Amino acid sequence: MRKVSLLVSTGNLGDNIIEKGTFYEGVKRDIDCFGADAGTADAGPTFLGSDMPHNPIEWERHDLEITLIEARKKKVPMIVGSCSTTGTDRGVNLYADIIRSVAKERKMEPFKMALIYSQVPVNTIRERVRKGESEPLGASFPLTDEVLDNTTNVTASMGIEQFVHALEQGADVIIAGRACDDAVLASYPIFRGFDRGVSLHMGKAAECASLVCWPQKVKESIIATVHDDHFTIEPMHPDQQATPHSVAAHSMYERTNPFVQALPGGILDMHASKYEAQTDRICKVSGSLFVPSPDGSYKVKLEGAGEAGHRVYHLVGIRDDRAIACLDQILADTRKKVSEIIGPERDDQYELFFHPYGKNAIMRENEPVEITRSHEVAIVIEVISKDIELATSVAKCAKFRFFYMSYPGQMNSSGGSVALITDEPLFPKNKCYQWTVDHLITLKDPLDPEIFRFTFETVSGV
Amino acid sequence: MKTKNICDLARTIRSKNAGSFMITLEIIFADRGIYEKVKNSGAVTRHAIADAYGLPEEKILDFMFFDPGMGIKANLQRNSPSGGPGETDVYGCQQYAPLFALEIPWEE
Repeated sequence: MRKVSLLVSTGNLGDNIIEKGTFYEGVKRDIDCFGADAGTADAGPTFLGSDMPHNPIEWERHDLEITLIEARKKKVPMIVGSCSTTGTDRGVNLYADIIRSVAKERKMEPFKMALIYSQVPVNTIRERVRKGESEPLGASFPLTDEVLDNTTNVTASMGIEQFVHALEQGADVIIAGRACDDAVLASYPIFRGFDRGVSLHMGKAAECASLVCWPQKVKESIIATVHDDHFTIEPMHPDQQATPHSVAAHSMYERTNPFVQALPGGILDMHASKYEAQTDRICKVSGSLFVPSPDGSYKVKLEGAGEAGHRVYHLVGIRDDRAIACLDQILADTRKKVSEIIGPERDDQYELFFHPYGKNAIMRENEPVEITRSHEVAIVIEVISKDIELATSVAKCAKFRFFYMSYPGQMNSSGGSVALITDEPLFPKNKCYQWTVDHLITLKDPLDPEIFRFTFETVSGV
Repeated sequence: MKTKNICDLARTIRSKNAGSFMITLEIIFADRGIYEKVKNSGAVTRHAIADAYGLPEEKILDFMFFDPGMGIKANLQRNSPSGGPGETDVYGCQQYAPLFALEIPWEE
């Protein structure tokens, strides 16, 4: 019976390092491909908007290095998607440089590396939107000129076709921009002629490596094997088990729907998926179907972020429980006074937020607890403005007004109402960014050269 | 009628981003018998989850039982997209605690 086995060692390459014990345990097996996803939008819009790395470079290098060495020893493909968290061109170039440098240091025999770029200039998106080729996905708003003017970076998430194209050109190593997590792993078995539904569900189950097994462990290796009509998941950690329950439950993780997963060109339908125990630690899954889009369309997800302004914080603490009892009134009074002092005519030039930790800073409107039982609270004052001077003044003004607040039952005298960890406002290293694009774009050709760009090179250390 | 608290019946109760505009809530069970009993009790519904959060029912966008994973899933629209101005939980991972209030009618 033919099969294809992938070694998957990390669910997010570089956000911490791969555990070496189970990685080398997996390397002892017959492995046909090494696959790793390095991306997530979960870290927020700052990293895409500012095109800044999320992870320490040394961790990314660690994972790329050990994987490249073993993939080249076995002469099997290594596929990495969503480089440097966001999958921008900078991320692809960073990983490509690491690959070249490891190959040189290790005096590796020549191999073929494909780079797939998927960052798209904002003006290209603008033209496509004008032609009516976009629609909202997670975002509820259309891509207007105003939204795009406020967007700094956009990526398109590639599916299977782009990886398969690189494999068809003979790529040994693929370093890709933003990609669907499942496609990073599913593309190799699909390239080898295995069923799309089985391969995609394997990709989805295996994309977080050992998180699909119980008890949960992070950064441990698993082997995902695709057969003609099913796939299996086997953990390399001796204490872990892939059970029908653990694998099925992982289908729910970070998704809105465990039965259906959309990707470019169709959906993965898991309504009829069957999860069975092959052994007490190997799970077998069958019955998943790839259903091509009924209208034959090929829609790709766009992610984009842009600057919201400068962000300034101030942090004030309250230990006085008589003040805590009046917190809602204090916050409202402070907001009103800040507007009065800064000038109501400037209200629309900044945004002021209070995050009252100890009350409802985390869940805000969704917090069902109305009266805090905490004897102390901290209020993070957050101000966003295009004008950093104004943002700073607003933050200082709010801090000042908390310092001199008044409320019924007050026992302290003016000028002593909050504890400051420092009297300085706090300036994050980066500006404040926000998600501006979470939309679909329809492509006539999956290899549309304005959206996905390929380069091929021979890398050699000899 | 006697009840049991959801925390004494479930294995995992969690929340997480499902994209940057949505938060997904999950209750996962370890035992099929317990899962079926909770499912059939009718005590966990879209309405019951909305109630636990003190939100109108239409704020709970999807609600489903997922038999293969012995899980219950509901999705909440974010008040503002992850990580933007004034946003409070970038990963959406601390939004599940109100689910602890769910009480399930339970006769041994």
